[in-house]
Amino acid sequence: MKRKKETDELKIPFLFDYTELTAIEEYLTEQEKNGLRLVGIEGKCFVFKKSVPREIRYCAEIYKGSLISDFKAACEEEGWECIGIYNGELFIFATQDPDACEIMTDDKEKFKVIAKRVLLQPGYLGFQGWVILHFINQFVFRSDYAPLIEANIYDWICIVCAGFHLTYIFTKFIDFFVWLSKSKKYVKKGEKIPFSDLKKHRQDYRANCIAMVISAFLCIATILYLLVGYVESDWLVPICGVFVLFGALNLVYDYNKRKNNGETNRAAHIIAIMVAAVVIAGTFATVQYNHKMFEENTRHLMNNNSIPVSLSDFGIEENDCEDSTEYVYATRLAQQYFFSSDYENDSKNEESYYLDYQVFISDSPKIRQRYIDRILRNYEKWGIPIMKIEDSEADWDEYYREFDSGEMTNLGFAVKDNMVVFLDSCWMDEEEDFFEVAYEKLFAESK
Amino acid sequence: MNDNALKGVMILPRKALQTLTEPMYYVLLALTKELYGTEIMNEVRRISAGRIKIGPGTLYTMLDKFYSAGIIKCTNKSLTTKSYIITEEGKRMLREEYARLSTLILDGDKIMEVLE
Repeated sequence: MKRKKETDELKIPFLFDYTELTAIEEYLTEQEKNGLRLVGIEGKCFVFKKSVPREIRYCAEIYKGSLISDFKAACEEEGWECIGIYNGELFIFATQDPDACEIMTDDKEKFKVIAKRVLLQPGYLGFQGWVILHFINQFVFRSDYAPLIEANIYDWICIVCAGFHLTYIFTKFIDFFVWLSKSKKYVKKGEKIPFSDLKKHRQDYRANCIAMVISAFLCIATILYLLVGYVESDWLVPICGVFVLFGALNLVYDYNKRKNNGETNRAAHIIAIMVAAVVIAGTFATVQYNHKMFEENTRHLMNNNSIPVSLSDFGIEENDCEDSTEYVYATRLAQQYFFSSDYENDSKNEESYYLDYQVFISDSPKIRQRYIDRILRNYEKWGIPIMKIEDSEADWDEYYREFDSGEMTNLGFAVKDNMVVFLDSCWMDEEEDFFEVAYEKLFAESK
Repeated sequence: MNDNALKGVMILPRKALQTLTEPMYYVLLALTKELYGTEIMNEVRRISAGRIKIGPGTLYTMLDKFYSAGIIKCTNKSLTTKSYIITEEGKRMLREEYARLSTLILDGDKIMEVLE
């Protein structure tokens, strides 16, 4: 059997942010004391080699400019050896000369450089996320459920945030798997990977992990929202709020930590997690409550035969569904399927009509309003008049008057409780008012 | 504050490089003659009698800015290590900064005389 190649080299992923230059220096100095010397940077990993510890100073600096070779040469003349470059802009230098001049002597300038890089990175990732989501919306998914078509500003904020985090997490996972696959090759069996040291030097390692979990949740919610329309937009806004809140608390925690000279302020950390947990629990409770109300409402309507459709029409029984949420969701799909295009033929009178009507049900007034807005917007765009029919005689009279004078087409929508009914294109017996029939059919028994 | 005091006063954001920082000022002073990276750092130390030390990171970030703004120019692009010299625009800026600093000193002198 071929023996696995053994080497003294060890690769550890680069998990630092650009704001953590001092932490990088401390980490490398500590590894040097432990007998692991940094010999280079490969891709997104530090490459260490086992060696005898020595007195050495590390320096991590960002330089992004057109004079890289000159910059490196000048550093070397000052006694700094360039060990590696991360991402083409973060340089790791080392020197054994205790009197070597600092590479960045102007703190203000250093801050500007870091801030620029820190802002550009997420900006770029955010842009990537937006492109991905735009692509999904434009080419992969297009239907009445596509929320991007009718997205409001809050949805866009959520979608952009989610897109950014989706990309961010994606890159982090790639980093992790690259490290996992490579480190196995380099670490001998039973040998401890000095990963714990890395954790210690991260300024906010644990908080970042939790933030990543929340981000992952946000991403899953967004994907569901985009692809199946299952998660209503009312979910995403509070989830996004939780994330923002957690980020703010994380900053407070970091600030406290720095203020206390790097000592962890456990109380601030615990408070941050507790508040975030309470908000998350509150969000879930609200969502569950909404679903319960929706379920009860749907059951009530079905029991009163207000909506002539049930899941059994589609061969689905309640027991087939794993939980009530799935049942409600399936019911809703069935209703939408049933009402989306219904054809009825009255053969006795040889009078036929075609009815295309949709019923949109939501407990959320905001979502109902958005559905109405979309209808109005589309018909306005197409130049077709449409009117809202309230449950009053005066409304119907006005509708007839306008319809008779040719000012109004046979389009209309009615709002009742948690339902919006959109009536479209019907041909009917001159003596029969189909709108009235349809309206009665849908709402009479629920009155 | 009296509102009248603000009448006719327009507060504008300061343009980049309009006011030079101390290291920038010294780098421009040093570049009145042709120098390359390490020489610039040494020259700044010499001019300021060791008071101002500029590291290579700070220096090259500055040189990038100056070069983009046309304040300095590169004199030997073909060589591995480039050398630089101040341009006419840079000289104008340097004179303006010198005048500004002189005004600060003169204004300060008037007050300091009273204090002493």
